[in-house]
Amino acid sequence: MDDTAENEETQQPLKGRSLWADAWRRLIKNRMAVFGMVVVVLMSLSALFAGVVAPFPATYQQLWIGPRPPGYEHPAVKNEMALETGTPPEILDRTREDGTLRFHVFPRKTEYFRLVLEGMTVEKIVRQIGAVEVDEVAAKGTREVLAVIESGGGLGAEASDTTVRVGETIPDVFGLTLRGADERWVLRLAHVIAERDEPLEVAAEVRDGNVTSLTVDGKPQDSITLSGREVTRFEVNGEEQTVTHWLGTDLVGRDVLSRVIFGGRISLLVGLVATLVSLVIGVVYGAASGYFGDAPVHLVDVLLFAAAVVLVLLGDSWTGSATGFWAAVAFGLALLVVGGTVAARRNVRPYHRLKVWLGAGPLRFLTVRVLGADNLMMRTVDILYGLPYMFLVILLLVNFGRDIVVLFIALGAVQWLTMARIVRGQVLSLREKEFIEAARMAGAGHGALLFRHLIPNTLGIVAVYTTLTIPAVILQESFLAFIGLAVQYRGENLASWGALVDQGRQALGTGGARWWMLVFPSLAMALTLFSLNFLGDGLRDALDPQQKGKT
Amino acid sequence: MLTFILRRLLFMPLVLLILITLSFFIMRLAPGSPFTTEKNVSDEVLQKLNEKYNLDGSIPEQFGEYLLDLVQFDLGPSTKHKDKDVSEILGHHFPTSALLGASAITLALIVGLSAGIIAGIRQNSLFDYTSMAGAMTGLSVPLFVVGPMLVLVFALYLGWFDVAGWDDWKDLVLPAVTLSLPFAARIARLTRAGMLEVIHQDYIRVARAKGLREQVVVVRHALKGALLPVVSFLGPGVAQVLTGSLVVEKIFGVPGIGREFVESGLNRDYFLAMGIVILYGTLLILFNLVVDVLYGFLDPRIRFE
Repeated sequence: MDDTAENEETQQPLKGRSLWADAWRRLIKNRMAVFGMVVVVLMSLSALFAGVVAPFPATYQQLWIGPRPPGYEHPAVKNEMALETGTPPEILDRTREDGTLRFHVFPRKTEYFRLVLEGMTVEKIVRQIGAVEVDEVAAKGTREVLAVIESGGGLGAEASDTTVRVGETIPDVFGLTLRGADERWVLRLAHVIAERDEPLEVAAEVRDGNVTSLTVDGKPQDSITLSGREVTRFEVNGEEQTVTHWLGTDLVGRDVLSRVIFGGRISLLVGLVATLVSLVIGVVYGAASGYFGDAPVHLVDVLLFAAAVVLVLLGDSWTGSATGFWAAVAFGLALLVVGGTVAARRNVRPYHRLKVWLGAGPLRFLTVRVLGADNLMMRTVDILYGLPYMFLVILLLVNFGRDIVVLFIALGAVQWLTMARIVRGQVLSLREKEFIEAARMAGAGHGALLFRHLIPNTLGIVAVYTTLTIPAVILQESFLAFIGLAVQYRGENLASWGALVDQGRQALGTGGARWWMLVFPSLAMALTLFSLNFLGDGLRDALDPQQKGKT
Repeated sequence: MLTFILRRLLFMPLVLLILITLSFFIMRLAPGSPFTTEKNVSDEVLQKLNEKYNLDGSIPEQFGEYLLDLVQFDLGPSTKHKDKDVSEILGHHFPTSALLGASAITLALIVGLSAGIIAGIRQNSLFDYTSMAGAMTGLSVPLFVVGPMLVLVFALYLGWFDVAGWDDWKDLVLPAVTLSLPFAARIARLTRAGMLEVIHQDYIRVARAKGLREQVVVVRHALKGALLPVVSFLGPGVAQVLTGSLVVEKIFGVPGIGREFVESGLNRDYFLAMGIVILYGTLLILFNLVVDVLYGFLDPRIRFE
């Protein structure tokens, strides 16, 4: 299929081109990879500058708006706005300019009812203040009726021109999905009644950023507090000021677009950092295994290592703290690395002398060669590979909290295995090459050979695998968020894409009436994963054309 | 062949032991206990509870006891579901999960293999392009997006299936399809790549030159070689299905083990969580063994490694 591309290359005049420039040329020919790259760059930029790009802060609730479909427009006002002469007006920042502000306000009063539902049938309506039972609540002619499921938690709906009667089915406008006809539900119904037919007109003059005069229905007044839900119109210098929620709002009136943008920030951050963790562990482990692989591991090494692990675990059980656990893990890893290196570099004096001394004495059996270091390290990887890793990660998260750092480590620890295998394979074949021989002749030590010659030469394949690991990690984090283990930072839940999809799924309503909360985060996520996968595939084809078409 | 299988069998308890050790210490070294959620528990009662569930010794002691119990196939009691053994709970919920997982794997194999074979034989055809685009989508769109989307379309708009629940065979369709999608996508891609690699080999040309029918060439000769990457993916693939079932059971309200797992972890229901990890771990390890053996059959070179 790509014979033509190869021919073109051979016809080029002889000019030095680096591997990377060559790969780049091939990459930008691949349309899907370029598409992926563009999407990834755009997503990363929007995540990086989320504060600027997103129209609203991620957690800004406007309860009075409630769930609204994409494209919903409303006056550009905040939940609570104080207007006072001599101070700046507390309206949305972007409209803070000099001029005349005009508001149409419908003051409202709210009555609360408690509806008891048997299946979808209204069994009882109780006025909450005074606990009087009534037969019906006529929402007709009022502006809105807000229903909040109490026992189900956080489901809101709005309806006007409807009546709820005892003994009848609850009107469909509430968009409730109640499962199981025999279930009992308690709804809280906020019955909002407009107190007057004509709006209250509030006007304020703003000069030099401060309110200079304030009138309410034409009468001057010193200060007034407006509630966002009561404002039906807001103008500055005769121009109506509205904001649009392009992707709609969620149950508590948060802008979905902003949440998707901020969610991307969390998902991409987790993907990137956890991948870096796996990259570092995997490359070091894999390179060490490939490079020091032929060093023998003696029985005494194994015993010492086992003793150290047991000691750490026992010692920790006495204190029983989480820090102790992490210390143990770190210590174990350190031991593994140090042990491998020590075993490999037999000229490490004290340890080497110990072995020589042992080998000469009656404890000779301790210096029996158990297996090669490479064998040991790779069998370890094999064993870890066979574990149901996500289950361990879940255990880790539910037991040690879902702090973002724990998640980085946990997810990074899942991913490093494949990286280690790949790097080891590369190092194994590279270390037989002439240029390594040459470097060794020139006097390069182990460190220089590894970090200056071997690892840089594995970077191509490492880059490919890194791009493919990021979407895998994003997927895993979202998976965790979806099953209710959202990442936290200092105890606060962070709404990554996975968490948003979960919320959207729960908020669907009858017939999927509130589809936008599910569809948009899902789309953002699928598009990003799609792009990263294409970019990764394209990179592999570009860096290693022989592998093209293989998976 | 026998030594090969035996060697793998010897590997199993080791992996299982590591899994048990890891999950045991992750659970026990964390702060909190199964009884911290219950309010107004006096020290005496706590002492009694700990004694009852054998949680009063030091952690290494408990670990030893737990291992001893395990050897006798005793998974211990559940601290949350009073008076129930972990084995009972697993026995109650596992058939559901197993049915779901098995249907998903079967579905994925049927769809993935046939799509992959056809795409491989008719390279660059319309079928090839559409099925491979579909496979890429299946890989990129996560389960928990596919699931709710399927619910939105097939349950809420079209009304063909229930939104959630587990009452009759129809309730199996959406969860199984959801769970099988990424798996089927991977298998389709691997099969296609395998077919492409094999189909141009000399022995296929020989088979064709002998005048064999195309069907025989594909099924008897090409497929055997093409299946190798698919078989080696089955191990990790089953792991994917196992973890995926956590999500799918949540979305569709399937009363399987997956749903129990997260909850048991959060409740610090030590024995139940461990039991589930052990069950899934054993399944995975067994499956890896089957895959290894299968691989050894398909590619005799492996056995003499």
